[in-house]
Amino acid sequence: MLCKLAFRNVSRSFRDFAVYFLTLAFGVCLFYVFNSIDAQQAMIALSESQKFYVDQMIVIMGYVSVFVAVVLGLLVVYANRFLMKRRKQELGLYLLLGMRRTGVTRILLAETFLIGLFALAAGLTGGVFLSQMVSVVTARLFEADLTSFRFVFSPAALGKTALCFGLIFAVVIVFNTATVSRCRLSELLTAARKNETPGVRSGRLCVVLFLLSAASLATAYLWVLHTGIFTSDLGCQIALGCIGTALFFFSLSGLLEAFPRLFPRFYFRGLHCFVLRQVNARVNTAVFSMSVICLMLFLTISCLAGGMSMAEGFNAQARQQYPYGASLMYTTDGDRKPALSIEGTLRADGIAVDELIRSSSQLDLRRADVRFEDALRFFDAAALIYEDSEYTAEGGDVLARPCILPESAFNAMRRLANQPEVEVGEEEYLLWVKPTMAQYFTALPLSGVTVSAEGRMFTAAGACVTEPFATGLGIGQIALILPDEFAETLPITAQLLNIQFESRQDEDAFAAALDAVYTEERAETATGRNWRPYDILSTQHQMIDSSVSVKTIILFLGVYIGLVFLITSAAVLGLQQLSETADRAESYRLLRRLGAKEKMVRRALFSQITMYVCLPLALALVHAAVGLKALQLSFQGDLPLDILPGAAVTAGILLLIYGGYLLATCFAAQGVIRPRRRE
Amino acid sequence: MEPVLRVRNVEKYYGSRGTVTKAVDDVSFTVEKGEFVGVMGASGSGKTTLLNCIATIDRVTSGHIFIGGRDVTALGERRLSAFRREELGFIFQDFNLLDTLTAFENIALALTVRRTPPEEIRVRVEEVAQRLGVAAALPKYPYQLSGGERQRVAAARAIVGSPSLILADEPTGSLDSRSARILLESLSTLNAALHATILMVTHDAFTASYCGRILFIKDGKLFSELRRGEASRREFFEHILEVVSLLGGEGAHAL
Repeated sequence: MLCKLAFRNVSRSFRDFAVYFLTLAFGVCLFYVFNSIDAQQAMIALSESQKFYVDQMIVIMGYVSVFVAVVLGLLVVYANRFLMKRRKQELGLYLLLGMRRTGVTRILLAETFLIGLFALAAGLTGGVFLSQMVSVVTARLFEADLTSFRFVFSPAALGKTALCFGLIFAVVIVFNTATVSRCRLSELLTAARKNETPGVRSGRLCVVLFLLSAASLATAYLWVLHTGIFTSDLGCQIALGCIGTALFFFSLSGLLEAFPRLFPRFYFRGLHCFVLRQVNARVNTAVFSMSVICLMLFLTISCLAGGMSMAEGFNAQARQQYPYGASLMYTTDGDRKPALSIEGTLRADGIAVDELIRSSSQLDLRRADVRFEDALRFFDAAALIYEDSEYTAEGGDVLARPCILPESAFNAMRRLANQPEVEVGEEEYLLWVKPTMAQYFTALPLSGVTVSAEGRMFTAAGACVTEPFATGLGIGQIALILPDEFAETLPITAQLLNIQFESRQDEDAFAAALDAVYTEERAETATGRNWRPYDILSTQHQMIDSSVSVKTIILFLGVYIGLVFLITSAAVLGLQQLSETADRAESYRLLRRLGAKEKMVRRALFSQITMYVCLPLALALVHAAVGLKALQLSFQGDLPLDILPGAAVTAGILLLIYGGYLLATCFAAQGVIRPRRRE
Repeated sequence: MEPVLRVRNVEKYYGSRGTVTKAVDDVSFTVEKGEFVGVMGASGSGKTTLLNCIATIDRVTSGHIFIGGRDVTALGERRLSAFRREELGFIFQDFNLLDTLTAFENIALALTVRRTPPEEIRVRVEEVAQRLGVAAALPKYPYQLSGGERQRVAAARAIVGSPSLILADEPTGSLDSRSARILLESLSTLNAALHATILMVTHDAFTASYCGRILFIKDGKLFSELRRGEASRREFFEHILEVVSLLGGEGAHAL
């Protein structure tokens, strides 16, 4: 009997339950997807180093999931509270008819269970399918092959999801039981009748508060744009932003008071004044939740767009930065003498160089006493671009000791990486700069900047060269490419061997062979010369794996947290609007009686909901624009961030999920105010 | 001259084929311009259903209702909202003011939905509020007003658009006797001074005594009609009470 009643309740008032259900199902789906990454990697061919990073990612996901579970739990409890509020009268009726409190509790329990079961089923179905797609995306991000596509189901993720949502439902049930047992019957029965007294705020106070809000937001914006986001000031900046946001929503209603005086033509046309007043009243009573939602949306947009942009940044960096299969470097400091050929020494030490290596080239880095004759002008320009004295100081230091590269050997390196060769005349030089600094140096007027090396003068042969000439090795910020006949007379400071391989297997085998030959024991026995012909080895995949893994972790975390917050904000706003509309259904009936056309009434409802839902979004977008700009600035010099593509994808996701919730809310609300009497 | 309201053989049935309830059963009457007509009857007599049919909120099962010569039973939904906008004014028992709007805006709403220019809105709202004695209440919100003031604001909203017919459903139902008297006197003034045509549904004899003519409804049928003529309100009140007692008691057999 109770089950039947519960079942009928759920199916009858499905419209009320719809947003609740949607939220639960989305939550379950997300939770499953991000917890099943563990199992999904079974179908991706990962190298050892990639496995290490994926394992790390899974650990991080585990921690984040706890946080996500708490957020979803709070959301579900909130949505449930909304349902309970809408149904107080119904529950009161059960009690009035003589049903025991335990009976009512049992009905609620059955309903919660029923909804939960359906949502779990729907969410898991969606999650299982979505997680297959996530594996494909993961494989692409790691540039790994899908060994063989097979359908993966993760019982562990299922268990985790079921446990988490089971706990959430338990909390909901406790909450509901408390509500039923604590409430007085008369309160339950009269719950629907509410007397709202919209607080009216003084206009003058609101103007002051609004100015205060604008001031604190502007301060926070400018501050964070000046310092970037990686400073200890970030806490203060965030606090300022929060205060500004809250004050903004607090003072907004007061400003709207002035609206009819300022724009009477607009205000007193159609239902405009009704819509504005309704929105005003809502914002007025929901300052806190508006502010929280706005900040949450800000976080969402930043997580999504920032995560994606950073992932893209790392990606672009990876491709540019590692042009060779492997780079080995040997520094000849002090009494260390340069080996003639690193490759020859490797061969002599028993490494199957000829089988493993496709092609290779060696470049000796040399040193000279260098002076930029017109350095002052040069660095004034650089300082202008950097807009930061710190960089000039660093730049000066860097320019003092650039390494010298002979033209032909440098060109051999470029051939090895399929880059076009460069040309340097007899009395000319070329400036090479680190790729991440390229954007500043390529804009500089090099012509006319003369360089003197060991007393000989050189003029610029052309614009800067920026392609890296090693994989994953730091070789200073700048270098000079000089004619062979001069450069080769200079002392060698370091030797660089770049290698290209036929395949990834060869690359791995080469690295393994070096590891096997140059062990610690050998270091002890080897005498007479340095025990190995290189100090640093760095291979392409080692570099790419680490950058890709960092990027994937950032991306997944960004998307995970972003989506959870997005769903949360959208659901809360949707539920608020629905309950609000239900409470004011009478108003819409009155509008019809006053002769407002059905279309007019509908438009009033939609624009009211849209305005209310878009208000926090609009402010959040401004916040996010500033935040992302600050993020970009913070990475300046290290990682070129292109925010636009990430922002575009985020806009798409926002449109889909937020827009979806908005539409669902509008249509559900339309159902709430549908005229009842007429057929 | 064409009467403001002409009700011809209106019937309204509820229920399906098996169990039909005749809420309004073959009712016909007319209301001339400038009349203040009351419709009286006990709960369930069908008076509110009849009012809703006239208000175009409910559809008749059969029969015709002409307002200003136009048959509203033949109008489509789109025309009806325009019709309600232009021709009808409503006063409800529970005031039905929007609590997020000021009194001024509540009254203005009846004009804004028909796109009256803002300058004209201000003039007309203030004039009507003056007439009903709620000018001081205009900038206030409904929750800051007394019940009587709220109902007069609602009345102002009903007449601000100069409708050809004002429909009032138990307007004094939730007012104390003093507020009720003020409201009814205002309505009488509107009726006398502006020749506003008012059709008011009530079950209260005192309220009804302000009307010029009373229609009594019982079990969906028109039972009798009472004109005030030259009688004072007190005398009219006595007459009404007589009919009411007849309605409730022996009258059932008499019919």
